Amino acid sequence: MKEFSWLIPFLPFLAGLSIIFITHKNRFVSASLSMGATIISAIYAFILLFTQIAKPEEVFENSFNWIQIGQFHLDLGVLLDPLAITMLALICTVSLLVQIYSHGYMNDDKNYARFFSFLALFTASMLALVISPNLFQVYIFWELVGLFSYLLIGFWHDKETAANASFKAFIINRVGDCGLLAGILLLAFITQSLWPEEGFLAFSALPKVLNQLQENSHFLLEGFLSLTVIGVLILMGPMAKSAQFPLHTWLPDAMEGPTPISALIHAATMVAAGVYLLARLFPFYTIVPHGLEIIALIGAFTAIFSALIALTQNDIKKALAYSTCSQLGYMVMCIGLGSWVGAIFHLVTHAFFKALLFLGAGSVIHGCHHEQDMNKLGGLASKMPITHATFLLATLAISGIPPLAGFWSKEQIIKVAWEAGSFNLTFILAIITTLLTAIYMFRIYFKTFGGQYKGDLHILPHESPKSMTIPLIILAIPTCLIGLIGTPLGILGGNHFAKFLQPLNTENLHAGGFEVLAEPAAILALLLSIIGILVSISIYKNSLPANRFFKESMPGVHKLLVNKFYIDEIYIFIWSKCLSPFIGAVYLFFDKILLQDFLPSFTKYKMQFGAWLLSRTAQTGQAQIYMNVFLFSLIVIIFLFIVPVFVFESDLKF
Amino acid sequence: MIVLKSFELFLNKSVIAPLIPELFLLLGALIALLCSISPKHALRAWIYNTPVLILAFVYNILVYSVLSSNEQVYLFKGTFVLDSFSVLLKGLILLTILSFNLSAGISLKNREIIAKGEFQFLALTMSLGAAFLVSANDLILTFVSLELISLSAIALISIAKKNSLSSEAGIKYLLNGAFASAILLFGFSIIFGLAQGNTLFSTYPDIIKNFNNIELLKTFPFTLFALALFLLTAAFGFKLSLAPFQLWTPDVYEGAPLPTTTLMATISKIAVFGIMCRIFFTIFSFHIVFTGIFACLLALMAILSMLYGNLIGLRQFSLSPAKRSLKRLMAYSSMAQMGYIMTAICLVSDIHLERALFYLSAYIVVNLAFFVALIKLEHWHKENNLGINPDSFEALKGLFKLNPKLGLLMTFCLANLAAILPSLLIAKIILLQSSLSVGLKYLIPSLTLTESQIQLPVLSFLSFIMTIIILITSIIGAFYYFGLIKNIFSDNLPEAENKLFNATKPALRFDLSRLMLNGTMISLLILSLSFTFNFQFWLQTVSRESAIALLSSAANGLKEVMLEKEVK
Repeated sequence: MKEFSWLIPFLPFLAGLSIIFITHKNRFVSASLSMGATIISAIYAFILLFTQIAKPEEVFENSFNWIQIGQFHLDLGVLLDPLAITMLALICTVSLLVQIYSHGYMNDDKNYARFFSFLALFTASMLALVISPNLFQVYIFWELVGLFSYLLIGFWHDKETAANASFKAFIINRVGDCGLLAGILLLAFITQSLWPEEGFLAFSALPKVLNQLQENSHFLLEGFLSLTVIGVLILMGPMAKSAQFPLHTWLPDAMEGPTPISALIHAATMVAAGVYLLARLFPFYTIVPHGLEIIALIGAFTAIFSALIALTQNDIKKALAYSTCSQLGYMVMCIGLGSWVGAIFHLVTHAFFKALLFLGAGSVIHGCHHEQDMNKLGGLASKMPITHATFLLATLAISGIPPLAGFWSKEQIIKVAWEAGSFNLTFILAIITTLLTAIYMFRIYFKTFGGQYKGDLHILPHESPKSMTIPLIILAIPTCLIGLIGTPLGILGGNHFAKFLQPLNTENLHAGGFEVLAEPAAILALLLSIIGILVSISIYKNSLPANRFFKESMPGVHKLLVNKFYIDEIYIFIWSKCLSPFIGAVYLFFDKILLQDFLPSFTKYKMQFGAWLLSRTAQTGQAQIYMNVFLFSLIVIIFLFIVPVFVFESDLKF
Repeated sequence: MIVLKSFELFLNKSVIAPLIPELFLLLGALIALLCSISPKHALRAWIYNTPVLILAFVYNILVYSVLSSNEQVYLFKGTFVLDSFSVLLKGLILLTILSFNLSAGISLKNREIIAKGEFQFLALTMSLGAAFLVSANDLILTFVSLELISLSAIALISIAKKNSLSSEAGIKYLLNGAFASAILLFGFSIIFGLAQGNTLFSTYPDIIKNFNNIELLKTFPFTLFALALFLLTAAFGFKLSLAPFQLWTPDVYEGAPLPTTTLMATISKIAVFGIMCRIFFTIFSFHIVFTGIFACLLALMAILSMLYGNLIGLRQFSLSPAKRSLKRLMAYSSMAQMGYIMTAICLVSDIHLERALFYLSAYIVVNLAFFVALIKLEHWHKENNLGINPDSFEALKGLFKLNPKLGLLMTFCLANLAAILPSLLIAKIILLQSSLSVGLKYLIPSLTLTESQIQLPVLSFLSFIMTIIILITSIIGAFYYFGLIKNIFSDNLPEAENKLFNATKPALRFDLSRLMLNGTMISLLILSLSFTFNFQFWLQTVSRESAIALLSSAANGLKEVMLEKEVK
């Protein structure tokens, strides 16, 4: 069964290509091709998931040597362990639901078929990324998901903001990928002789190689090529892809793309690829000096930083995007604190409720005729009942209200932070973020669904078609229940999820009763969430004066938050004032002076001379000249080579 | 398996079995000749020939699958040898002639080519000569097959009688080719004399070892042998258009009709490459002096070809647009590519030979695809009456907009030739590794070479230079390939666009020749991609086995021949 698992990414890939090349004129066939391929992949992925649950410790790895040049070889293949299979099932499910949803959302778009081909190709790349057995293959598909993200953000490329946003996403991801590539190459360079045959840069061989690396410290280089530098370089990739500070600025702008894309790529799957890669490379970061600390700090900082910005955003999708950044910060922080299982658990739960939130937001936008400004929405609760109910569920889930999904995963992260030392910096940041999360999420909820409709009265908001509401309802189920797979509660037999991901780790086997919830960390988190919700209710539902109080009493802070801490402006400043003049000077010298002016005039004379010489001497078009050149060259060669042979003739023997 | 076993038996026992691909080619040639009796059927010969050539191709693949790398089948008292090396090259030749044949329905519609049946006949005899040449194990067979190629080529080049360029090219090729043949024959005669009248390659090593016992030959055997080596290298260099014997190439490529250029750029190159390798690995690799001289000479020629092909190719861009000729550019391109291949051959050793074979196969497929696309382009221009010379760069202008599929295909081939896309990119990387592995010795004298047999300081210096030249010239080459790609994607000429979109389109009807041409292009594309995705198979199985087969035929040949004599 597992031998054919390469089909899971291959089928959507094939579907995407055939849409582009063959069926792009037929909307129905295109959409059904893409969905059909994803359904088959999803079924396959779930079969794999269930077989894996039966025997969680069994790891399937199958790779072949693709290119071998001398000692250097690159392998491609499939690695199926619990982590990969979890991701496969997750991606297939979300992708399928998003595709069904897109059928409604994109129905009146003239490039409907193109949208589905990109969706299928993106899904294929993402699936291939998570089953990659080595870093090299990860890099290939890492770039491919980046490419399709770019194409999908800029899907409405005639809209200037969308084109710019896609460009920005691409450039910032390029910065991260540059670091990732450099890191991978440096890692390959210092460990090149340690990898086994059939497994260059393979994850399965990683712990062994790292052991050898630590034992033979002569492999490690001091100074610029130290492990910390490599670790940070590799970290740059996940930082860009998972939108961590300071490479997070592309994600809110990426909301210019169609909303299903925001749900699939920029909330549930692609942005989680960074977390996934960090989880895969966890053994590596444990030996990197200060590696985990750096990761934890970046994550915690991003979490609170984006949560603060989310408090003031008025665009519904941008607010959700900052929320995504913040939640991703949680995951990264959790990895940095040493529990990658917790991070993946939060990744799974977050994927469902954040996809639901985005699809709900998409439904609102669709129902209100492409109005995204929350100041012009409101009072939609009665007009869009299904969207409202599911959105509320997801909001409760992300705020961390039991027993919804978000509570269990967030509780684990807070617990991990608490265990790292009570009231340390990461714990404090994480716990404050919990409060902020509840506040900004309910702010979005009340501004959109509560109160009176404040928009254009000519537009009548309406509930979305069935193809959009059905995915919402389906997603609401895991949003409520998926958290139960990872509860530490004894009733359900303990943390199944951790047991599944780390079957060999015996610590996960112990199951607790309800007392696990009585820990100070969990109680504090829950308390703060509830306080946050109450604060939000009092401010935004009942329109307390606090609504304006903040804006009027602390205008400086408010302005700072509305302008997203001026990160974009800082980047523009750095670019225009520091980098651009330098690059401009380089451009002026090399491109303008050297290549454009000097070389052509030089080559012009040289070429004229050469052309003259050639047309006069050799390439004249006259056969007799050709023969003369032939003979002349032959004579030169003979004299050049035969004289030494002739001279040394007497010394030679057959 | 049983089928393969019995096939193996058939191959070993039957006298005719190893010759079947050649016989099929001959049959095809005769069919073409018969068809040319009536002008009505002359163009249709390609339809009758298609099954014949496909059979030959499939048969060849079967032969490859049953031959192991250290096994040879000899025919005609050892003058004809069948080993993995010759079968691989024969496969490439058959692929070329098959593609030519499938595209002939369209390519021969050209009004300039009057004798359509004869054209196919000559193309088939040319490939017949090539098929014999890669299997030749004898001086006389070598010369005869080489002349068969040359004579067919001369007729093919000048077949567009009313085009003065074509006749001119034919005359040039005739004169220069005769000159090269004379040089080759001179070299052969020296070898013939030194070997006391023996013509079989396999017997040479033994004869040469006894040189010192023969009184008559004691004077200057090394000098004479080296002289023969130079003459042969010059003659083969002429056929492969290696600098400094390459001057005829641009004129001939430009003057010849497009189908002929296709054949010249592929079939004759493969065949001459084959016989050159065989002669050098059999006759000249027995003594370090000859391998060393051969290596250095070939390295020099490779460097010159790479420089000449790429630099002079640039000149096309400084001409006025109407004068820029695609075929001429491809001539320069082929010089450069041959130079790249020679960088590996000149390091005389199996591992480098294997890489050169990989590059050659990948290059031939891509080059063929590009030429078939050019044929399609020519046809497309004539069909739509765009009034642009299909050989000029202007013919490519705006192609992506006017005919996106063809534009994309050409872009694919050109980017491949520029070593940007995988199949030739990987091939070039492994070539670079070849020359670098020897060239590093020059930089780090303490290095011990594992991959090369000969350890000449001069050669490591030359390899080092070659590495640099490959890198530099690849960039220059990329410039002119991308110059064409720029044309494909740039804005089209408004007149052409108007003409194309205002013309009343004929109703699309079933057209076998068009279908076949498109099929050929797609198959070649897939084959070219397979070099990337089945890299291990092509390099480590096919190329390696063929390279080892050539070396083992050189070593085993003698025993086999002796055995045959004993049996008789």
